[in-house]
Order: sequence, then C-alpha cells, then structure tokens
Amino acid sequence: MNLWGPIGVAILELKRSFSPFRIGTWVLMTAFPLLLIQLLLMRISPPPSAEALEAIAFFLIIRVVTVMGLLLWATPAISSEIEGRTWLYMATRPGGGQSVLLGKYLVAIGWAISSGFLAVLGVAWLAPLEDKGVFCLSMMGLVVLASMTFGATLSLIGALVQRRAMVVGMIYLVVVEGVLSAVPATLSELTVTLRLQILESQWLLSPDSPLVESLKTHSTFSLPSIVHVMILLAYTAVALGLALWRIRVGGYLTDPED
Amino acid sequence: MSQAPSAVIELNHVTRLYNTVIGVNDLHLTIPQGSYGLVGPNGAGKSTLIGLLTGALQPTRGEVRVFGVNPLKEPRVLRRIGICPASELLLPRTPAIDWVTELMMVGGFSLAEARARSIEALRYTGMADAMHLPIGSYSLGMRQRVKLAQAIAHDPDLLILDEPFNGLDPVGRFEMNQFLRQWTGRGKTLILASHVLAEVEMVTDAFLLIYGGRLLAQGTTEELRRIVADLPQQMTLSGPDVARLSGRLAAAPWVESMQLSADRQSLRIEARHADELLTQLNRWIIEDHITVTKMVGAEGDLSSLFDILTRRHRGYAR
Repeated sequence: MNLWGPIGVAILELKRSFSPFRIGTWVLMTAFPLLLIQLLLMRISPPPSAEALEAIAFFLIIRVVTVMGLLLWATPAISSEIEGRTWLYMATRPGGGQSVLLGKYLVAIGWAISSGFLAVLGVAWLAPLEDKGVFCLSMMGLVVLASMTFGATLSLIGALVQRRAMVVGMIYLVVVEGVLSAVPATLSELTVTLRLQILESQWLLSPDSPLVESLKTHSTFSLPSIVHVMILLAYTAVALGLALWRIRVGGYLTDPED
Repeated sequence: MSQAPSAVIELNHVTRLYNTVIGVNDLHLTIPQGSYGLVGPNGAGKSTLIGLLTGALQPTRGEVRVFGVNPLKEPRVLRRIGICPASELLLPRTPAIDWVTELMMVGGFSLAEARARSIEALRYTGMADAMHLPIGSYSLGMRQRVKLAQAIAHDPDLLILDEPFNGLDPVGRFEMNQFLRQWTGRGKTLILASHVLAEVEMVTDAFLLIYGGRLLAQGTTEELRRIVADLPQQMTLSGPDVARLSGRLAAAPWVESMQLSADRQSLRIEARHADELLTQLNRWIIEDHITVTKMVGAEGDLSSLFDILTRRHRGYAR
C-alpha cells in the first residue's frame, strides 16, 4: 500500500460525506448532549453538582455521541463499497482495499472528533463547571482516544463481517462495551470503555467520587494515565492491523452468481 | 537483466468454490501476449475468472500467475492490469473526475499526477465535457466510458474488460471497437469478456470459451469451427418441402436421427459429423430444388455451440 492511497480515499470520502444526511446526523448528535444537559439544568432543582454534570457529559459525549457516530461512519467502510459496486475497482489495485479502510477510518474519526469537540465546548459553555479549562482538555483528550479506538474496533468489525456489520457493531457496543465493561471482573479490563472511565476518573473526577470508588476495585486502576493511553493506542493499532490483514486475505463476495 | 515471461496469464488447475457452488472448475491454460475474447453465457464463470486474475478472489485450489507472479502474493503486479468490471456503477453524487483521481491515487500516483492522468483518460474516452458532472446524471453509455477511463488511465499492459459493450449505442459500440483495436495494436494484452460472440469477433479472432466454470475450448475462429465440424450436430430446417430431404438423409450413414414435425414444415436432423451434414445438405438442397426458409445450427446460436462443446467436454461425443 502506498501513502497516496488512503489520502485519495480520504479526500473523496470527505467530499462525499458533506451530504444533507451526514450533516443532519452530525448536527443532531452534537446538539443531543447540549439539549439534555440544558434540560437537566432547567428542570432539576437544585441543579446537579459540577461533578455529576461532568459524569453525565462523559456518558453522553463519549459513550453515546462519539460511539454512535463511529458506528454509523466507520463500520460500513467495506460494505458500502461492496453495495455501491465500487469495491472491485478498489480491490484490484495494489493495497486498494487497505487504502479504503484507512481513508474512511480517517474521515470517520474526523467527523466523530469534530462532533465530540463541539459538544464538549457547548457543555463547558452551558454547565456551571468548576474548572472549564480542565474539563475541556480532559474531555477532548478522551474524545480523541475514544474516536481512535472505537473507530478502529468498528472498522475491524466492518472488515470481518461483510453483511449486517452495523448490527454486529451495535451488539458489540451493547454487550461488550455496555454490559461487560460494567462488570467488576478482570474481563472488563479488556474493554475500551473501562480504560476511558479510568482516565476520566484520573483526569477529571475527584478521588472521593462514587464512580472513582467503584473503579478502584479494578487491579489496573492505580496504573498511571500514560499506561492506559498506551493500551488504548495498542488496541487501535491491533484492531487496524487485523482489519488490514483481513482485507489483504480478500475473498469478499461481490457477485457470487457469476 | 531478467527476461520477461512469455506468458501473460498462467492458470494451473485453478478451482474456485463459493461454499458448495463452483465458480470455476480446474482451469488450466496459458495465455501469451495478444487479444482474446472470453466468451460464455451469463453465470459461466467469467467474472470469477477475472476476480482470480486480479487477486480479488483467492483460488480454492491451484495457482494463478499474471506476468509471472501470483497477484495475491505480489499485488504490485496489479499496477500492470486495468480492469473494467461488468457491474453497474452506483456513485450518484460523485463526479467522474473525482472518482478516477481517487482510483489513480490508490494505484500509487500523487494527487497532481492522478488528476492529470484522469483528465487525459476521460478526454480519451470522450468524457471531456461531462467529467465534472455527477456520475448519477450520466447515461449507461457514459458510465461505460468512465469505467473504461479508470481502467486505462494508468496505462496498463493487460486490459480486462467485462461486458464493455453493455448499454452502448451503435456509435458507442463502433468507438469502443476502434479503441480496442488500437489498444491491441500497441502490443498490449486484452481480455474481452462477453456473452455475445459477435461482439468479440469484431475485435479479435482468438477465443476462450468458458461454460459452467470450465474452459470448453480455446483457439481462433477457424480452429473452433474445425472442432465443431468434427462433432455431432443438431440442425433444424424449416420450409414447405423439407420432408423431401428425409429419403436422402435416411440413406446417409452419418445421420443419427431425424424428426419431422406434424405439419411437415420442419425437419430436425442429428448427425455424427457436422462437417458432412453441412456439405451434403447444401448439395441436396440445390440438386433437389428444395425451399428452405430457416436453418438453425450450432454456429448460428451460441447456446447450441456451448451445448455441443459441453457434451464433447464430458466425453459424450467423440
């Protein structure tokens, strides 16, 4: 694979992605946490504490907005080419399939990060937080890490599962990143969500917060932030590597009847 | 300096299965530089074979070599291949120039070079005025031209076109013909897949006949005619007095069977040797002044030709 390949795919994918549907979805996703937090501030009296608002913002921005955006934009990287009947044109060029995956991955995380960043800035502007600077920096770091890691994992699912990749991606998000990450067991330490929660607790929450208390049961909680960041980057590299390998093997069904 | 391999394509007992469905079955052939028609009805395995040649599909058994290397193990060889698949292009909002540029970049060219090559190829295929319009606004013929442009923009040594005449009007067909003749005249290799024999005959007289995933025959038009001539053949004659031929046919030792229709207007003959049947039949029709309004045999009907060759392949015929 050459470097121009993913750049070429990313340029065209970015142009194509400025569609009314994509922009509409992006606006809705960005506005969703802001609307919900504004509603909470208006309806609940006394308003939730700054720490509670930060935890809510983490859930809405990282676990809903970023993840859902990536599910929609990163997972169908391969299947959309096959359905659009353009896969064969890509797959018959050296490293073509890999270029598609990487180019679309870059665009998908670009959209997810931009949506997450705007939502973070919006929440910082709306909510009465203690240190808005720390909140913005921490949350933006988490948005970048979440986008890279979930984007890579969902791209891998898209490369492994030719049909109904989004359904499988959704099942993964609910079962593994939703249920398993909440189980106080060693297995949950394999999830991306738990790593992000530990980073959230280290960067953003006070040590006596209930969430921090619950996370302390995990053996890796006390590891420094850089280790968790490195683990998430390693997840990203492994997931992308496996996805590229799967594409290299080839054999996607494009026109089996002939 | 290493010598270039003489064979452009080598298939060594290649089989490709889709679960239990056979895509191609034990294909074994060598294709030197030149121009070839890959002819077979829909579902014959042409697209599977093309997928194998371009590394898009992995053979279940056997080995594929293009320009001396396995395209799966050494995908760099794909730079020397241009492919125009048969499938319809579904890119409603993307302009042709953007799509071809993307494909050229994926092929390894820088943005500026990819753009320049794309413009040149689209101009060459007659898309100069429409290249900035979305592909969704194009006619079927224009989409075929775009597909051709992306296949030739990187100046490949082997061009594989799958049903390139689909959707082209007579002018488009003529222009495509001209282009393909020019292409082969440049010393490059062309594989032209089609289910219409006449379309391929206009470009080349070398054929690969594929059916049911198997290579039934390979050779020039004349060689194929010779194969057919030695084979049993069915022929149906229609006319007001074709029944008069039955006496002559009954005495001929090479006639296997005859069947006259109830209205005596149609005579179906099955002969052991097509060559004898055609020679004698022509003579008798002229000598006996028999009026024949219709004559249908294997050479006028591609499916009959495949039927004959399949029977030969299976050993039902000598």
